[in-house]
Amino acid sequence: MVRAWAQIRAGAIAVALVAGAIDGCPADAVRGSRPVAWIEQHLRVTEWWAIYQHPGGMHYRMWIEGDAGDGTWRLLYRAGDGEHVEDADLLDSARVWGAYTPSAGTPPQYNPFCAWIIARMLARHPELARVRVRLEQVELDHGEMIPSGTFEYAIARGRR
Amino acid sequence: MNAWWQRWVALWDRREPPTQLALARIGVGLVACADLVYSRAAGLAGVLWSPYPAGYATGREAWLGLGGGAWWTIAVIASAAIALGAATRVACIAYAIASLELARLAPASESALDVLYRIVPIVLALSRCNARWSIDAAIARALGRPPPAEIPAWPRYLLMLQLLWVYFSAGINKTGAEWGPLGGFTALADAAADPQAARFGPEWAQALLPLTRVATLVAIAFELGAPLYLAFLYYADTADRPGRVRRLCNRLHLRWIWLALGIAFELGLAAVLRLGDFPYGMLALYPVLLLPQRARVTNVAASAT
Repeated sequence: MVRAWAQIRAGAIAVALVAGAIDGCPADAVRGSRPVAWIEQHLRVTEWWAIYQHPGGMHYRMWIEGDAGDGTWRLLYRAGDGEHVEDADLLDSARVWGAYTPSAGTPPQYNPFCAWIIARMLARHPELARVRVRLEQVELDHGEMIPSGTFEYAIARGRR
Repeated sequence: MNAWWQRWVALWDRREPPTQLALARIGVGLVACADLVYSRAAGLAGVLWSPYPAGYATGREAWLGLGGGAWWTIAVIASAAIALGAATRVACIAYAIASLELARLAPASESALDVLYRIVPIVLALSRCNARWSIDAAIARALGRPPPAEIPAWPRYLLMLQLLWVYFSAGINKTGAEWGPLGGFTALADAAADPQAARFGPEWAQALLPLTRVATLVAIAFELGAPLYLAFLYYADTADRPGRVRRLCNRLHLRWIWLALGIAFELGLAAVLRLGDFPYGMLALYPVLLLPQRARVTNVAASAT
């Protein structure tokens, strides 16, 4: 009986390892047709680990600005900018980046994130009529951050 | 085929002292619990797992109708119980479920460690990681049923393979030119200049560019070399057998060099980048990479004959 259990366990482990290998296969052809895709979809686990694939090249930095009603945008927060740090404790957290860091388009939580942070800034700054969030393209190259001045994914909202 | 199968069965049937798994359990529980408590203290918990206007969680209703706050509480209690080894199996399953529900509420807040820490507790739940340094073990002793001195080794083997695969998979998926010679090995300098993730301004990254190039080369070699650790470990475990490669690997202490690189890599990431609990969570699993006290490793099949 004990030996039978050992064989069943060894077989189950072999199946689990094969499933993990298929799921984590770097070849798109294998991963695209993987029979274990439901595991990631329902259990939110995967064996495909893509961590810091492209630290260089084009990235984004978030700007949050407020307008007092005179059409002039005042900077409240900008990533990596020590002089504009409103809510930086929250926004700089690794758990928050994912909501506003584009990867082949904006993340699914980008709009709810913007709605939340804009409402928060408006509540904190009664003098502001509008707040906007936008992402500036920056180039990371040889340890240097080169701002492009080009913005994408801007969302602005005023008081209701 | 039969001989191969018997060897495979025997491999997963080994037993060993529970030290490594107990250490990993404590580490995993502590890191998970500390991260959750920090999230609440930093004001993140209410933001990440609450719907608008308190936060920006998805509108999805969590399982059992519980909200983010309830799942956070369950996750904290479960992770503390894992660290303490109290009702360990139930705690591991509860933590995995709570983590899954939190992930559904805030999919964008997930790090690779969250994914890993939904796999690890399941393996821990199937193990006897509570056989040492745990409340479960203390209660069992008090009831006159002390935990076994040796436990099945296969959960540790699985966790070791998992950890090594995370590194190797991360290595082969690093497709950016900056990780290689064509990009000048500038990946870590670029990461350190990322305004979102960097702890310090980009000036130092440029000043230390030669050093970060070496660090990038070492980091990618470390990740791609992860499968070799299995060979180093095997050679260390069978040091009394002949073989020039075995002798060389043992003499050069390659196993310890790889481990030291891993620790330096994770601590370096923690020092330079704001990655949350990721580096500490990876280090918490390092005990599973260590060999158990060799004289005490036995095999059920061998001891039965």
